[in-house]
Amino acid sequence: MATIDDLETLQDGISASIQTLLRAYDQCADPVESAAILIQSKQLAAQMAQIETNMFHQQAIHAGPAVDCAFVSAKGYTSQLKDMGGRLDRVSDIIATGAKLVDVVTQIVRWLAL
Amino acid sequence: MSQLPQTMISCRSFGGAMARFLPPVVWLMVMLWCAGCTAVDTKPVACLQQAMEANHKAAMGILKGVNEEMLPARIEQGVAGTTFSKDDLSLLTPADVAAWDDILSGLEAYCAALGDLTADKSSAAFATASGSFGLKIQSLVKAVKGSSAPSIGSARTAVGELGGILIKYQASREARTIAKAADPSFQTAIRSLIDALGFAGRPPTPAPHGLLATCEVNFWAMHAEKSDKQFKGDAIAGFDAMTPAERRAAIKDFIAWLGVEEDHKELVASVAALAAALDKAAAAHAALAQGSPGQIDAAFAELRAEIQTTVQICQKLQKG
Repeated sequence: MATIDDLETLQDGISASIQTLLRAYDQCADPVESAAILIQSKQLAAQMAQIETNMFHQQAIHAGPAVDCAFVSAKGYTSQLKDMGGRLDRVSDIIATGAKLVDVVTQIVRWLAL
Repeated sequence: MSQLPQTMISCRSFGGAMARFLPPVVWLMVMLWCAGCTAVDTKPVACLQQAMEANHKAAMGILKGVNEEMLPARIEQGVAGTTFSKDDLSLLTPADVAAWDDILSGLEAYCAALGDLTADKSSAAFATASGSFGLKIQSLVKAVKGSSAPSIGSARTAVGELGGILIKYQASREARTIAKAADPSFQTAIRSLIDALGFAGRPPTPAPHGLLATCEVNFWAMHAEKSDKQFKGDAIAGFDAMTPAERRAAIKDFIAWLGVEEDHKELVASVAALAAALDKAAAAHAALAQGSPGQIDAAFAELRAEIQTTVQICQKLQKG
């Protein structure tokens, strides 16, 4: 079961991840990589807004162990992105981790909407 | 913001001619009016009432402002989805905004009841007023429907308790007795609103989650192309290589962007100022409930200063 605290922690992680992505976007000169980073940051911002809207409407998500697993994965990816924010030298790694984070948060948001 | 110094300058030249004719007290009032200041009531309870009225107006303006600022992002997000409904239009649903409106009306009604008690009215008049304010508050929070947000839930319960306290203590002539009994509920209601705005701690500081953080990341992600590439460092990138027509178009775009960025910064500053004002109102109520005369004076001096800021926020939001 995921609680409001879990959702707030997830938002904290997404918020930090978007900051890493935007810093990488700021420094990235490659148009393809820049476009990928921009799309990911917009997707994560949209997901953060969906979480915010839904957080106003429920105390907890009851969707079994799959949710717990998704939260653990999201926490791992946000933590990795936060670390990458300190270096910004491997943009391809940032994009790959960003994509994984978008996927796992998509699952969480789907459960929130149930 | 830029209008205030001009107003003050024109007040000074106007003042030179008028000072000889106006008695000092009237002159002070004219100066306050000219400077766009709201005269703040010096009686603590009346001051609290005034503060909560201003906070209520500012909060509603800010919630509306957040939804409006998020609209372009919501449209873009909607285009990427497969369905789109009324709920997709706003970050905060109309039911949640209406719930906060009712809760803040309840807090205002509670402060109005305390104000009646300290306005030299008879016991009977206060008993009638507090009884009806109590019932009004309870009916307001009962009307909070369609929103089950945790922060709204706890604020609603707390404000309902304020109504009950007013009814229970309607025979009392002691504002402090009522404030003491009501303080835990008052604090809970205010903390819930500060929390919902996306702030934590005392004094409130922005949290990386919640309303403000969501608004911030959406704004910067949505406008990253402009802020980080096109107009990086507040300058037009590649301006030198542009044709005159391109330069003209780029300058117009740049001006529009600066306006959008300024509006966002003002909204963020308004949310922060509201959180601070709510915190000061909570501190003032706590001092009223159980503080020493010195603590009451200090808390209300801070609250009075905060009212001016909150009134300015309301004026800005109304103009915007």
